[in-house]
Amino acid sequence: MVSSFIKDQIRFFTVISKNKNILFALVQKELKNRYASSALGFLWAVLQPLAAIFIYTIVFSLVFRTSVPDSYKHIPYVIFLMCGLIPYQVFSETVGRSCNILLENINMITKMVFPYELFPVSILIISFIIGGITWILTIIFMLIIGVEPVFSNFIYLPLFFIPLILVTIGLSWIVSCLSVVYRDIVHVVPVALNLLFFATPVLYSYEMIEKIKPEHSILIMLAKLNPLLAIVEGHRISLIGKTFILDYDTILISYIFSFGIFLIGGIIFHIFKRELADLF
Amino acid sequence: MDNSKNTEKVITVKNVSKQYRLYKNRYDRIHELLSFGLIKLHQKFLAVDNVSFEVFRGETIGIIGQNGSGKSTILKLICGISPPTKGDLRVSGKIASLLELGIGFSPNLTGRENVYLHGALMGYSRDEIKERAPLIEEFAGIGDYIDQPVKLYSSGMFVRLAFSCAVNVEPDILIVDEALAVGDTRFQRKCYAKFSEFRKNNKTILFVSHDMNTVSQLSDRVILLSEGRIIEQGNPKYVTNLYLKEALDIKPSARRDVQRIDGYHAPVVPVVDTSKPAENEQLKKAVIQKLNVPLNDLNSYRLQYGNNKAEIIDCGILNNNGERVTLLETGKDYTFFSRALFYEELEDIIMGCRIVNAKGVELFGANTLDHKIDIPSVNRGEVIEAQFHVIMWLATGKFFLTFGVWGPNFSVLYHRLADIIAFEVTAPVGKVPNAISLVSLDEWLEVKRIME
Repeated sequence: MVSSFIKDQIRFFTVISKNKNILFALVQKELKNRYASSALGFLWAVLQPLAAIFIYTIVFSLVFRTSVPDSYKHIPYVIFLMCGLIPYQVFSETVGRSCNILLENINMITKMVFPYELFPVSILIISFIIGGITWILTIIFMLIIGVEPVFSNFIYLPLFFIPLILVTIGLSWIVSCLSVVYRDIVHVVPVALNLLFFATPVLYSYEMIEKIKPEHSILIMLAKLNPLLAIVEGHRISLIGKTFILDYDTILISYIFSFGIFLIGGIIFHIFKRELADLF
Repeated sequence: MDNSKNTEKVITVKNVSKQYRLYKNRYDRIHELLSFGLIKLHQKFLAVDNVSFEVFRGETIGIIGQNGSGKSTILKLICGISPPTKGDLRVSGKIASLLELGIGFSPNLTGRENVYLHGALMGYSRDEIKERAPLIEEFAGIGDYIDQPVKLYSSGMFVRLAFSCAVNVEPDILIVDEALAVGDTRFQRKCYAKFSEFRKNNKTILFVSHDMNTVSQLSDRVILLSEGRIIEQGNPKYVTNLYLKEALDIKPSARRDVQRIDGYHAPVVPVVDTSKPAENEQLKKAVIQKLNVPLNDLNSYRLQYGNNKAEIIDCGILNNNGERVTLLETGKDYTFFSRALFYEELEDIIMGCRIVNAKGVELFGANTLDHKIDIPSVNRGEVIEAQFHVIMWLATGKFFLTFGVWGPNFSVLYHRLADIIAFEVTAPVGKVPNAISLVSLDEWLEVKRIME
């Protein structure tokens, strides 16, 4: 039973490679639907995260006077923020968009047969494209203001992309198909993503979690169980980290949880997929 | 029909049922789910009830039935969009489904981009689509609009592009749900041509339609559904006629009396409940005797229906000498007549007839209402004869004559004998019959040499 599900999950990757065509078409459709009718078009994809970075920087570095944590002492807050925000945005954009994606394409699902599980994947691809562009802009920005990225750390990047992809797709599958039955999910997801944003070291860093007072140890534990912790912090280290402040347990937890969510998401989607056309 | 191509099964449906759970509201669904089977809040609804049939390669199958009879559900099951609750369903070959036109079309994409999107969703590679794109564009015939976003299209253009996408992708099995009646006449003609091209290429077609003419013309076999069950399948003309009868609201319970006939050509078997009140039967006997009616086996005729308030007891075609004939000659005068016996006092009677050819195309129809002949009232036991004097301008072929008696403005059908008279029309002696024509236009030809 379980092994057959795992087999199905592995088969999922062949589904992707077999249906590159569909995936490409879905990506194109989504991009056009999002940006075709706006004057600035695709530019919005980059303007939105930049605007967020701008706001957070003003609030946290000028108003709250948040200082950059010790291990990133040499870095301006803006860069510190950008490096953490990129992977989080990839995650939150995909999950946030996924909860509507099946509902929006009801007519395709009730009238056509194709691998519906590719819908969230197409969203993830778009998020990655946008994330990639922001990432390049970040590097350019760093070079302009004279902050040298730690190029030798770039080799760590794939290490943190794997759990990012797994947890994002898994969670997207869960919210996308559950929202078909329980439309409430559409309202729950933004709230949950907001909560997760503050539970993840985007505005602060990993070492600040460890500095939480011992009497709030539950908080520390919960924060460390968050698979996004290692992903976000790891991404930051890969770009600008002078020291590798993550411990291996945290990375392991991230991998285990990501893979677990990916598996559960796959199983849930698999169960729903057969009935999907009848559920609307 | 070539039998050799009918040996390979492409669709096998065996004892398939589809049950839907109906909830009063969406919270009932949640409550039931959360109770882990302790609370049952749904009602069961059998959309498809133990249906079995087979489709062979190259066949064109028409599926007919009233709204809610399960036609579309069956198509959905075959397409694989929703799984059957019970039973075994096997399909071999690539399916193109036209359950609805333009599904998957995105308004912001251009026509061309949508062609690629649709092709991809149908499972074609980019190269395959590239190969067919010009064909699709040409078939749709929307010109330069192909590079405009679809949201700017008129509904006609949209439908044409959608249809073109659907039929130009070379599927093995084409599944069509009420999608043929689209576009202008010229485009429709293109669609029918495409249909026959499909048939010629030995593709399998399944389609749902409410247009009995289309069904009996296009299909090799027709499946009639009611309340999720197959009532009858077989010869298109025969089954569509049966449907017309069922459309007159025969009670579902009566269906069990209907004998199921398997096989290609269904034989004519009497199934109609012709039992009438005994006094009506006596009255009819007396009248038939008095009028000296020669054909009294109408009771066992299968394609008749009505409500027993009136009955056509005699009908036929007379030639100039007043003889009953079934072999007619183009260009001569004939009289179609029907005699209706009334069992009740009725008002505003309409009597009519129509002619269809073997493909089910209606060629002629006439009734007393259109000709402003009033039959204001009748009494019990009265017999009324309607005579339709015609000049037979049909060309050679086999035709079927139907007679009917209706109430005010066709609101009630008292009795109808569908295709009761089969007759053949031949060319006048000495004239070569033209096999193509449906009608004769009493033509005469002239040839002149206008330049030496």
